[in-house]
Amino acid sequence: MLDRALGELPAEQRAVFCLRVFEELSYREIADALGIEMGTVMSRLSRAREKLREALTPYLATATRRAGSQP
Amino acid sequence: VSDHVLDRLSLYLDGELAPAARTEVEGHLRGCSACALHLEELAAVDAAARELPVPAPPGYFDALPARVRARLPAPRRRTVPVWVWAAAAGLALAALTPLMFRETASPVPEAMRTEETERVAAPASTIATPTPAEAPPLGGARAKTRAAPKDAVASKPVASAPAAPPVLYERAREQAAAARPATGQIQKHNGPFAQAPAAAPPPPAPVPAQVSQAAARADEARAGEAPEEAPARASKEVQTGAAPEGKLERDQARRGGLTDSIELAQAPGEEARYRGLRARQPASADAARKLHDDWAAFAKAHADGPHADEARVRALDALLLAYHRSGEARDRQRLREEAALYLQRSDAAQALRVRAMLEGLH
Repeated sequence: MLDRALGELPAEQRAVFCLRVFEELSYREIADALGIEMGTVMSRLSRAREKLREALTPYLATATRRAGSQP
Repeated sequence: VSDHVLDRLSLYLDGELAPAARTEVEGHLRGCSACALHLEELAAVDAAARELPVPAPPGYFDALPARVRARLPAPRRRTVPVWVWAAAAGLALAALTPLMFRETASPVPEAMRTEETERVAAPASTIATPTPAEAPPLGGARAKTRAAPKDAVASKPVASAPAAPPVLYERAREQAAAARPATGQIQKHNGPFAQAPAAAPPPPAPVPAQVSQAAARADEARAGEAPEEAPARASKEVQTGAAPEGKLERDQARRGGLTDSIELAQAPGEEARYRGLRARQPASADAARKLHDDWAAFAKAHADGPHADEARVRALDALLLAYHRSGEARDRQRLREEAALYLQRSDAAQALRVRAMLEGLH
């Protein structure tokens, strides 16, 4: 399900996530590689992780999910 | 919710927060189980993604603009030995869930790990009092972890590079670390869920026991307790300090082993010279050209050594730097020629990166 969620991310978020997690580039390197600002890297990565987290959550332990849903 | 730190967890996870902000986040995480859990879940995303057999959807890289594609470094996962995949496949996401209960969540162990990591990556002089500010922000905790073995064995304070060392150098270091088989894969798992994949490789024996133990505990938690009690239980474990200490010990053991093997693999003078070159930060085009020459000489002198490939690429980096500093066409031309020679090598481990370098010249 994660790969599907990954595929459903907006391309720009997916690119940043892949470069960070698979290629292990630093934010600066990602910014340079994609020609975007560091701040943009941060926000895209954060949004990508959040979406993937939402996709992954149903597969995490029930107790964990419940606690995670608390404000 | 406004005082939560959810918006900074991604940065925290990557070790890209400034020290003050990180301290603040860690302070909050200690008292906020919701944010701590959120962090765990984000880490689970990364950990799960790393275990995907195919890191990106088919056609993903093809869909990238050519300009971007050419800038991507060689996929580091290719260097991962088969047995890592075998181990990872068996654990994968299924193991992550039970591990939630065992390693959960409290930011405390994460903070300890981060600090521990930097302690190793930091120069010797800072070992006693590690200050996050001295660690380079680039690369994040994972990169620092992977750089640790090299940095730990020498006295040269690599980590003392200023806040913005040349990106290329950082990347070269990362890539060299990644090119090191197996160890890179082991070391790079730094998240709270790292235990599943990371513990698998080196000593095969403990893994199944650990996983099944965690699974059993998770089952127990589901069956015998109200679901709400599970996180509390995990927190309790964390408070006792048992889990983090165990992890730290294992990490230290792994690092120790790595360090030993690296020391054995290198000639004594080679490492010192390598470090000396790496610490140099040429301020002028001439200094960069000189650095290029020295890297090239190093690569020639230690053609079979562990740093040969990195030295070749760093020589190119230096040329690129010279070109950036001087803006002279001769530097660019020389870089093109030497990069072409590098790309012809059968052992060019960082070919993609060098191509990206060339691409960046246009």
